[in-house]
Amino acid sequence: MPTQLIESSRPLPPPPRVAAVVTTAIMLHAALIGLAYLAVVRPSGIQGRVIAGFAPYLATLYLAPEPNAVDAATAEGVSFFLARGERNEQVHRLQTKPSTDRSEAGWVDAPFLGAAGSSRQRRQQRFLTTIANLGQNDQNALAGRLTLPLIAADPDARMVRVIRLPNIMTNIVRDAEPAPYTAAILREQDAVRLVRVPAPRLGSAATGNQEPQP
Amino acid sequence: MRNSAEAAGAATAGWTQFWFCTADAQRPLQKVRIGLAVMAVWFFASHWTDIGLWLGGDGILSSQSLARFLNDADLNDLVRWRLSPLYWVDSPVLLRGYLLLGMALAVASAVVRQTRAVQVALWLWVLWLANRSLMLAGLEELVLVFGLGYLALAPADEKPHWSGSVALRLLQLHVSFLVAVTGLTMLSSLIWWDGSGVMALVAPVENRSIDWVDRLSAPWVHELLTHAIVVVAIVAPVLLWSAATRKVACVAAMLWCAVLGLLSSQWLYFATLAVLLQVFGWFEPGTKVGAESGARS
Repeated sequence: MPTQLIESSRPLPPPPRVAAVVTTAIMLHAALIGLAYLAVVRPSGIQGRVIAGFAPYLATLYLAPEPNAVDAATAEGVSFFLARGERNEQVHRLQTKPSTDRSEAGWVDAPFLGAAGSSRQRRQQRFLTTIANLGQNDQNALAGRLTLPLIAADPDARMVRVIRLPNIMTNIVRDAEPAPYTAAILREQDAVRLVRVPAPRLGSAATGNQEPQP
Repeated sequence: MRNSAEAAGAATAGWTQFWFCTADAQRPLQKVRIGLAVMAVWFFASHWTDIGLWLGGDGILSSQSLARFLNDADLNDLVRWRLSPLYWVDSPVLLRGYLLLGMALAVASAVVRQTRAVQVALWLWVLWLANRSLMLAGLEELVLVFGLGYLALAPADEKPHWSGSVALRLLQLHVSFLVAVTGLTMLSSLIWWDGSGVMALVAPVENRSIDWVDRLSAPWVHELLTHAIVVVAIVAPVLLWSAATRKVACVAAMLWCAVLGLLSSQWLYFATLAVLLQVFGWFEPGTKVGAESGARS
């Protein structure tokens, strides 16, 4: 009896021509999804070209993860592997302060968006991660472009930065790294500009004497 | 010569049976349809409080701000296919109206059986918001969009039709491949080999609904969990395709979703994935939706 029930619910196949078209579409679709998904870690040249070539299909229908849109945008949640212990996975915070001194004092967290673990907070983190990555890659104009709207509601702010919070997976070296993006806020009448404050670089060269040694 | 012709014929027949003639495809699809409707309501509701803040006229990623950024970054070519009518909507009221309509479509998709138009409309509604959420969207949009997209291929009623069979097969393949890719890409990082992957997942405690760090700090706990997560992600998608192991694989995959949802706080993503896993129909004893249901009995 169960077999009869199953047989009665079996659909008829489409006409051969339709089946051929659908078959071709399925094969192409599956191949593209396979290529796009397996390109998440690091795409090869061929993968990159195929994905770019089929962008009208893959991107329009949101079938592939963001193709490293801003190199930077591989933030938490976009990649399948969920965690790799990288800087992008640290919690990011936007901070401002009402003075332009370079000290560590006086920074205040910008109004926090959303409860911990909420979708709202996740969106904020992805956005701040993008700014941090742009800042770290010295894409100052782009980082500034994204940061400006975030400080619009704080007319007293004179400095802004995006920091990464230490966690159980970070070591003392990583915790000591400077904020990935710090900028001074210049206000001239109605215009607001951000000027990147250069971060001190960690290096192997001696830093006490700037004069070249003979 | 004759043997090869017979083999080709058998392969074609097998392919046709597998893709177009799956018995009882509509039952799991109906369950998934209801599940994804709930996820879609959750998805739209999760944007309610901040959609104006991000996408409104004065928003952080307003159309103008985004266009300037993309121009400066020379990224227009890369993202020009992320099409969405929401680029022309900047009123917070209209954006919230969009969310409300999306929630109404989600509810309607679960109850309307006369036409697949509602399902198509819901898919487009989610897709457009995902495409507009440049720099904000993540994996939850990805699974929701392809899940709703495949469902839109199937007829809305319960009559057997080859398009329902195709939709079911595409969903099964896509979901199992996604879980497998998750496991395989995890192997690209040492943390999923040395047993600390789970700790990396729970480490950003300020972004997690539940702080698991202390509970998982014993090495044997987090190492065992890490290895289990990787093994299930790689093995379960294979076992899902065999009738003998499907139930076990489905339970393992569901548990995998639950554990990762709890640890990563990516609730919507893993809940949607768990809903999509129902396409393997393990919960209904009379349903044969795996690879074996394509074979003639």
